[in-house]
Amino acid sequence: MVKTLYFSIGNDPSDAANDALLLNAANFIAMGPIDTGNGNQTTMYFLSNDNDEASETTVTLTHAEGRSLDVMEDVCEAMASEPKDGFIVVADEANSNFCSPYITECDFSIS
Amino acid sequence: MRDKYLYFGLDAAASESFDNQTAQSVTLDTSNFDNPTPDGENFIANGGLKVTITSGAGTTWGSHYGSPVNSAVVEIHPNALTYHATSGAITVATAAADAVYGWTKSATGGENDWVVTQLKPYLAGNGFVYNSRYLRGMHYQSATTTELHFQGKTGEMGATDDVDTITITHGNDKHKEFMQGLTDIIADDKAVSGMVVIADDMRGIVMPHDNASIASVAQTATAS
Repeated sequence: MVKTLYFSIGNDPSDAANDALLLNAANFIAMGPIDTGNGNQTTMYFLSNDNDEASETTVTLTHAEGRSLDVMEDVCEAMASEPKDGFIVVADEANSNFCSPYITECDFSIS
Repeated sequence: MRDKYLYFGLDAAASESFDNQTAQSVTLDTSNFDNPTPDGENFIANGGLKVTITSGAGTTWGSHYGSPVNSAVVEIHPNALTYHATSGAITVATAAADAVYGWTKSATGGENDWVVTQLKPYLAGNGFVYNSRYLRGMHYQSATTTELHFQGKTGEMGATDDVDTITITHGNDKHKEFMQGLTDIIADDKAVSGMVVIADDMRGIVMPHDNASIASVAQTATAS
């Protein structure tokens, strides 16, 4: 099964370029907390969406302070799920639909 | 075989001791905690830190704690803790203000010893999850260390290839046991799902059925 991961930023509706993003779950490399001072952001790293082999596509999830580990557990659980259509919503900010109750925002850098 | 998500908690838990405190509050510093120290008023409530205080004859405890004997180390309930949003100052509500979870310091010197301990990662490099799909290989590095090489987070491949290296420290000549244990996890589609802790120095957790006596983990080289 091909699994895909869906993300959107806060624009509602998602009607501008790069408001929403769907990535092949097989391109997920790693994730970890990033420096914000209060542990409220975790970044996911993917192989490049542009297939350039020289950069990464990143998704940064903003969440409750200190909840990076909890969010990573929830994201992994979501990625391990097996919906029939393979479509997994990780963070759909436009519709306030998140795979973790701690996630509040989503942003991404597409390359 | 499905992807497995392997967690490596790279940093040991930071901890800071405050002996003979004369106030109901303490402030973390960067000699013990990473710089910056964690901030955000909900950081403790969300399980990021714990506070323990050694009981003394002159301390007063809320009902939640019962009657701790002298020298007992007691974990303060998060409900009694206030964490300053930016300064890192931690204050415990007095037992008068919070009859259940509060604590009132002793007037006697030497009876107000605190320890603040990190429980969760909050900075870059504190820990990473890697997709088992991008485990390029493992190799014997020394009698007590094995290196895992993953596709770098930078996504760089081919001519500009990049690698993230995780080093596991384990028992003497236990590299094969570690490698086999890890691949058993990666290959197990029945029992393993979601995130799996391989080694977490912060919480002192190692992977299930560890036959390699894992001692610690570090990220020794990365360009990511």
